Order: sequence, then structure tokens, then C-alpha cells
Amino acid sequence: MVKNDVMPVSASPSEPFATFVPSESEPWGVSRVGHLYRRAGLGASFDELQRGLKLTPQQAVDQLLDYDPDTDRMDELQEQLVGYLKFDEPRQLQNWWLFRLLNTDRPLQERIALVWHNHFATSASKVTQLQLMADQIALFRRMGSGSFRDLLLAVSRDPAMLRWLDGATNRKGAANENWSRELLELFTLGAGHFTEYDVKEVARAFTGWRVENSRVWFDAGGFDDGDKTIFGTTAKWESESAIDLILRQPSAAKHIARRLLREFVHPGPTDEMIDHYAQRLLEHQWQIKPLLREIFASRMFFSDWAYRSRIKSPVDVTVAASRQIGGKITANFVREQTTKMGQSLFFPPNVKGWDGHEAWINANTILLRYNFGVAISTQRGEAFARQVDLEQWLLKHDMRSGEQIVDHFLTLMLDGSAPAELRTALLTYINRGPKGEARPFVLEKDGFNFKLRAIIHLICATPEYQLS
Amino acid sequence: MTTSRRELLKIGLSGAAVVSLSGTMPAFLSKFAFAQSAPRTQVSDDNILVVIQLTGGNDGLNTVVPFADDVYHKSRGQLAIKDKHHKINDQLGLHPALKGFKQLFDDGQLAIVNGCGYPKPNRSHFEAMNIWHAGDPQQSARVTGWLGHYIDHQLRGSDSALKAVSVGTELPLALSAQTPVPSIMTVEDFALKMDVVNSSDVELKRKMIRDTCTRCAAEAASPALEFLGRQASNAIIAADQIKKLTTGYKPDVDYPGGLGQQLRLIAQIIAANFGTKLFYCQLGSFDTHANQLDWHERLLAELGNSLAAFHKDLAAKKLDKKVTVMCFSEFGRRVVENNSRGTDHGTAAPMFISGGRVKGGMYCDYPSLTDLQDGDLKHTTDFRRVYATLLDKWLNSDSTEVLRNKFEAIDFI
Repeated sequence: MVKNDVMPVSASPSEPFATFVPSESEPWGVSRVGHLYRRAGLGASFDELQRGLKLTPQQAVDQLLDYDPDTDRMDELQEQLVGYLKFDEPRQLQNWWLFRLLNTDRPLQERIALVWHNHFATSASKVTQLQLMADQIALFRRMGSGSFRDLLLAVSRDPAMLRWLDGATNRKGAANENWSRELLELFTLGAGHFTEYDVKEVARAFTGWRVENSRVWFDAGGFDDGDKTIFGTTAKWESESAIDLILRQPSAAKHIARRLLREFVHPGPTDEMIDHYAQRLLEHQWQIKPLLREIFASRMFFSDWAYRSRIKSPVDVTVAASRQIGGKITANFVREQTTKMGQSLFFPPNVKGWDGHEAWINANTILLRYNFGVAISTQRGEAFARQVDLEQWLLKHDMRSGEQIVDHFLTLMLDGSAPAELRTALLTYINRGPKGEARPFVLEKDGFNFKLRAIIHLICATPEYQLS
Repeated sequence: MTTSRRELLKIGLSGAAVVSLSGTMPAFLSKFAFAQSAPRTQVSDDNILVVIQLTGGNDGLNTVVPFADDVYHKSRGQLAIKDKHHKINDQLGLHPALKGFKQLFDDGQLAIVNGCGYPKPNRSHFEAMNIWHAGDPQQSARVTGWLGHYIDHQLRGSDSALKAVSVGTELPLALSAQTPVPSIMTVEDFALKMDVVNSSDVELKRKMIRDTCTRCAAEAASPALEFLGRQASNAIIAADQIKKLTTGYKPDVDYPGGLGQQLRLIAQIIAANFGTKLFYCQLGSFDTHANQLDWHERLLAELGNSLAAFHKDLAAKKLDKKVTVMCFSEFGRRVVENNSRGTDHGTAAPMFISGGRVKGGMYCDYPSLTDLQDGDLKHTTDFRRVYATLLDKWLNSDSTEVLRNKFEAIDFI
């Protein structure tokens, strides 16, 4: 849960649901482009930032959203790697997802998969057949931006989920309520919107599903075909009709709207916002993509209230830094780092997923985030398959003075909207000689330059950089 | 952030007038300040629990040896401990390598809880370990660890930078909590790192990073920035303190290698007074399927000697009344040895509780070697009774809340 003393809940924007239109006071600048690519993507490289600035907000949002979930370059690559890509150990599976996150050209699809991985949080600690875990994430990629109703139905028959919440052992006369309880409490309605009796009856509606040799099948003999009373309505409910019934409850659309607003906009959306987007979700017949398009186009999304209001997840910190700075960081290094920082993909802490925000931060994890800045800026050792030639790039773009270099990285990494003190401190650092004397910095030649690398490290090691 | 807190934070970070700080500042800083000004008083809220996990399934029968039982000797033709055990009573003795345990037992600081297990025992390492970590034989999908649950609910208000510390690279499920628990492998890893060009450059960068954190914590441009600035400031100070303590730190005893070094790190952090309530470390592997004798002896010697050194060090620092240690393993081993001079996965086994406030002695019945279930010992004590006792009587917590059930306390505290 988000604690109000950490995140702002006031000062929400005026006319939040109107479409954002750039103006002199609210320009379409680096801050808003960077914000969009952080939230709806995985962070922007310099080129992506430049391209984004030339688009209208609408075009930028459309480019992120309009991917075809049925064709994917990364899936093709995965097919080519059959035989090489083995999921014998969790780390292999984790590395593969991180590789996709580092290299994908459709970041929103991966972002959505991360959101549903957190919503339907399933852990390989119990689902030890790792292919099933991989298949579940593929399901989120394929169906995650479509109809939530169809996604939920698919999840209810997903082998990993059937194992995770014991749906596969739920049968007539021996109901297991694990799935049914979390379906109502975490996946659709929220605590307080159903009774213990509903849990029992919903469990009966989902009896009969089995997993055998990783295949799901419906065992009619194990299905309880009797009358069930759910939310006071008696009928011969089964899984599909029960899901439709659950989604007709008033709290369902609010629950999902709240989840999406928290993940994409702000850790503490207002009731007014939740109600508005819950209504829109129903009007879109539970389709996620048109709802996200409205959210990303809104004044709310581009407001100061939403800007830098969330603490980056470990995946955000590492993957975005890599995409921003360049170079070829290995997925294995990102896995080690994100695990230490508290986010081990495929191993959410429990069925509630990661709380996120301030829960990411403690003494060790903040140091790990700061120290990651040393790794990403220097790119030494086996953690980097290929190093970025920053010096050459800067020379090519005629960025040589301390001021140009500091401003370049502040633009790239902090949207150019950093406190004046930080910029001054960075300039003081770079324009100083070995004995502490003032000496204007000039990048003269190619090759590792520790001063300019330190600028990247020092930006990573700021509280501002931890915010998305 | 209140004005006073902001001012105090500035004072605290500049290192001046630390003694005068009030309770409105982050707990870590005030603890630090207090530690410098006066010795801390003994209150129950200062109690610390250290968990040692014996990974792989420790052979309980060769740890607390039923030397007077013929069935034991018949079942263990190759592996039975025949002599040199440390007699505890007419029936039971500690493995010869457990000299360290014997000393603690004689000093009245070691409780042996016999026959710990749970109904329908699981013999998979992984699943059995999950059961012990979750404190729940049902293995529900809410896999927050039992200690993680304690951290989330009982330590939520604590602002300590290091509420709980796991020594090792990977966090055990037991500590899996919504508040990430730091895993510290070495002191070196828990530090603000720099690309070292020269010392003056390092100093410049360190100062910049500290100044930025302090500015965010003090200016409070947004609550999130204030929170991050405060966390980072605390962490940098904690890391510097830990580093200083390591550099100048002299343990009052010699610690053995392996587990001893983990416990040495824990003793250092306890001595540094960071307000850490829980520590977790691991020793293994106890999965002695073959050629058990030497292997098991080496591990038990490491365990006993390390633990004895740890308690001796704490006593020398007058911290022995603050710390309780719990040792467990995911299961014991079968009564009858196998054909490879080893033992296979079994069930019930003893747990060990040690410390200056522990009432030493033998607790609960030793399992019968004749009344078996599928060739395995029947547990006499639900392991969650040990958890409940520690939660209620040592950590001042509510075990019913954490374990979702009421378990009868055992009298070892």
C-alpha cells in the first residue's frame, strides 16, 4: 500500500481527463517526451527523444501503442534459438526476459507484460516447470492489451496459474478455494466486495480444470455442475459465466482502473480518476488498449502531479539506464542487479506481487542503485558484452565543453529538469583540475574519459534519478 | 518534514552536536547519536534474533545422539557415534564435534528442542524448506516468509536503515517481505562504490553524492524526494559506519572460517547498534547421502565452534543478553543408513536455541526409534511452537497474527 506521507496525493491537475494540448506554459518538451517514454516504454535513448520531440503527443502515443501482438521480432528470434535457449534453471528464463526488455523495439508490450506479471503475480518458487512460467508471460504479451475479460478467462485456464493457486486440484466435492479467493480479492474486486460464501461458490464454478504434462484439460467428471449462489444469484455457474458475473460487479472496473492508473500514472490516483476510467473501461467493453490511449493522451498523464511521482522499479532503473546510455549490458548482470535490488522476475514475493514505490528502497538497495551508476558509466568487465563509445559520439556531435556535456547528460537522464544546484555541482566537478584548481573541461580526444563518465555516475546517484 | 526534523537532519549529517538530537529524526540517526552519548538501556524492544539455517537436511540422530538406544546402533552399523560424544544425560549426547554446543549447554545457554517437525512431512528439499520459511505446512501461495510477515507488520513503523539483514547473496524466503531486506555478503558489498581515479577525485564525488541527498532530504521538494534523500543519507552513513567498524574492528575472540565469518559480520553490525532486529545466515550442505561421517563432522564442528565464538564475542561486548540464536534444518534424515555410508531425507530433528537469556536444557520428547512412520521418526513437537515462542516472548510480537494459528509456547525463554 502506498503511504500518503511518501507520495503526494494533492495538487491533482485541472481538467484531468481532457486531451493534453501543448501550449507555451505546458510545452511538448523533453520532460513530457521523457515522461511518456519512461511510463509507456522503457526509457528513451537520445535518438528516441529527438524523434519524440518532432511528433505530436498523439503520434508519440500511437507509435508506442500500435504494435501487432501477433507478430514479434523477439518471438521470431526465440524460435530461431530453439535448442539453444533452455529453461532448465530460473536464471535462464529471467535472462531471456531481461534480454527482451533490453532489446525490444516495442517497449509498451513488455511494460504491459510486467504490469500483468505483478497483477496476476505467479512465482516459479511453486511453479517449477519453467516453460509454464514462460508461457504465462507470453500470454500477457499476446493478450495484455486486449480485452481484460478474455485475458482473465485465459489466466483462469493458464497451467502456471492452475498450479500456482491450486486450481488443478480443485474438484467437485473437494473444492480448493485458493484461486477463487485471489480471483475475487486481488484480480478483480478487492477486499470487502465479496463474502466468504462467494469464495466457496466461485471455487465450485471453477472445478474440473486439470494440468497434466503441462497441458490443460477439462475433466467433466471433476466439475461440480450443481446450482451455485454467487453474489446472491443462483444458477449453474461455470468458469466463463462466473467471470462475466464477477466483471459485472461495480467494483471490478474500478479495481482494474486503479491498477492501471497506479502502474502508469501515479501511485495514489484520486477517486474521481478511478471512477472516470472505470466508466471508460466499461464503455470500451474491457478493452485495455483504447483505455491506455486515453490515459496517455490526458492532461492528467502529462501533469506536474504525475511527473516523477513514482519510484522506479529495479527493472526500470537498470533497463532504462542501459537504453539511455547505450552499450551492451548483459542480461545476466541486469538479473543479478535487479535481484539484489529486490525484483527477481518470475519470483514475486507473494500472490500480491511487489508493492513497489517506497517499498523498493532500503539502505542496501539505494546503495546498489547508486553503485549501478558506476557500472553503467564505466562499462568495465564481463557485465558488458560491448562498451559504448561515448567519447566518440560526443566528439561527432561536437559536444566538447564541460557545460555541453553536463547539459547533454542532464537532458538524456533527467529531462533537463534538474535542480539548479545539481547542475552547478556537476559543472564545478567537471571544470576542476587534479589539484582542485579551476580548469575548464574540454573533451579533446577519443578514449575513456573518467570525468565525463563520472557525470553519468553522479546523475545515477541522485534521488531525482530514482523517480519515474 | 517538520522544521525541527529538517534542522536536526542537517546537524546530524554535518556530524556536529549529535548528542542533542531529539526523537523526531530518523530512528537510525537518533540511535547512532544515542549510542555515542550513553550506553543503551536493556529493553525488550532491543532483542535481536539470529537464525542459522542448516541447509540440506541435518541428521538429527547423529547430532543429538541416542547413544544408549540399541535400535540406533543397529540402524546405523556404519554411521553410529560409538564414543567421544558429549553426554547430556543417560540417554543422549552431542556429536563429538559439537564441543562448542556442549560448552553452551553446560553454561545453561543452549536449549535443545527435540523432535521438531509437522504433520504430513515433505521430503523434497525445496518444498520442505518452503514450509519452514513460510511457517506454514499448507504452502499457500501467500509465500511471504514468517520473518517477512513479522517485518511487514511489526516493524512497519521502524525507520532503521537495516531492520533485518540476511548474510549471503540470496534472500531466503523466510525474509521475503514487502519491505526488501538487504542481503549483505560482505562489508565490502555494503558500501558506496566509486570508480577510483585518485583519492581527491573520489572525495569530490562522495561529497557531491552526500550533498545531493542532504539537499533532497532537507528541501523536501516532494515527499518522494525527501524520502529518497533520507534513505540514501542514512545508507551512506550506515555504510561508512560499517566500514569504519570493520577497519578498526577487533573481535574479542577468534572466529573460525565459513559460518564463523558470517557470525563475525553479524556481531559487528550488532555492536554498531543499527537497530537491526533480525539476522539470517546459512550453513550447508547437510545433504549427506554418501560418506557422511567426515562430512557431517566437519559441518558440525564449524557450526559448534562458530556459535561458541559468537556468544563469547557478544559476552565480551556485554551484548549477550540481547541476542538469541535459532538453528533449524528443513528435515532430519532417515533412521536407517543407506548403502553408501550416508542417510537419505527423513523427518523430525532437533532445533537449537542459544543465548544469554535462554533457559538451557532439553525440551520436548526425543522421538521414538521404534514407533516409526514409513521408516521415519514421528515428530513430537510442531516447529511452529518454537517460532511462536520466539515471536511472543523474544520479539514482543503476536505469533497468532504471523503464523495464523495459536501454538503452545515452550519454556526455553
